Amino acid sequence: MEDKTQFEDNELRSLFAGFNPPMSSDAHFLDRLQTSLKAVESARAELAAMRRSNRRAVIIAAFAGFIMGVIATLAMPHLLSLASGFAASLPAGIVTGALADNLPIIAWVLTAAIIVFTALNTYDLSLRLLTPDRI
Amino acid sequence: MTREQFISRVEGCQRELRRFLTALCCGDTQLADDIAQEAFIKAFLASGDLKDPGNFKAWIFRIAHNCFVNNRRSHRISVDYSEAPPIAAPSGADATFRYQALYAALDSLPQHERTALLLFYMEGYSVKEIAEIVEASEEAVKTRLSRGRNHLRSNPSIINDYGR
Repeated sequence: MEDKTQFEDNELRSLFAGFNPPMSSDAHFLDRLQTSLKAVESARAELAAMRRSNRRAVIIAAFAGFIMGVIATLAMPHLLSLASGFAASLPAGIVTGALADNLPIIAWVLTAAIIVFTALNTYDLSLRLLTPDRI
Repeated sequence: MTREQFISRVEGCQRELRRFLTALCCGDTQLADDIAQEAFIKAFLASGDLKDPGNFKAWIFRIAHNCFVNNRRSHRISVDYSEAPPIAAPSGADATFRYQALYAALDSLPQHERTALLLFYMEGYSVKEIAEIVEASEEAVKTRLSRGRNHLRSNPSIINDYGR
C-alpha cells in the first residue's frame, strides 16, 4: 500500500514537472505589468499630493479662523457698545428688551458663526488653489 | 520597494506563478494572466508589508491564491467542463490541447484540493508552506492532498497519458 502511494506520488510529480502549458510571452506580460504599475504609481503620487494639499488647506483654514477669532475678540467691546447703542435707539418693546439683555450671547454666537464661515471658505479656496489643475 | 526592484523580483517568479495559475484555472491562460496581473499589482501595493524578502515567492503565491479564490467567488455561475462547447483550434494549437485531459481532471477536483495538489506536486512546496499559502492548518492540507490523490486515482488515464 505504501509502495503504491509512493509510486503514485512519483507519477504525479513527473506529471506536473512536465507540465508546460502555452502562455503569452514573458515580455508581453511584463510590459503589461509595467504599464499597470506605472499607473498605480502615478495614482499613488496624485493621492499623496492631494493629502498634502488637504493638510495644508486645513492648516491655513485653522490659521484664518484663529486670526478671525482674535480680531473678533479684540473688537468685541466696540461691537457691543455699538450694538447696545443701536438697541437703545430702537423704540422700547419686548423684542428690544430681550435683544439688549442677551446682546453678549448673540454677539458671541455671531462671532462663532463668522469664524466657522471664514475657516470653511478659506479651506475651500486654499484647497482649490493648492490642488494642481487636471486635464 | 521601488518599481524596478519589484519588477526584477517578479521576473524571477512570474513564469512559475502563471504556470500554477494556468493549471488552477484549468487551462484558461487569459484568466490566469489576469489573476497574475492582479496579484502582482496587489503585491506591489502591499510590498511595504513584506517582512521577509526571502519569502517573496511564497508571499506572491498566497496573494495569487487569494485573488483566484475571490475571482471564483465573483464568478460562481460556471459551465461544467464537460458541457463546454468545442473550441475552434487556432494554428499551432496542439500544445494548447495537449493538456485537455489533465485540465478536465483538475476541473473535476474541488478548488482547495486542486490548489494543494498543484502547490505540492508542481511547485514542490512542503505541507507547512502550503498551509501558510492557503491559510489553513497542516492537517487540513494533508487531508486535501490525500483526497485530491484519491480523486485523481479514480481517473488513471491522466497518469497513463502524461506521467510517462
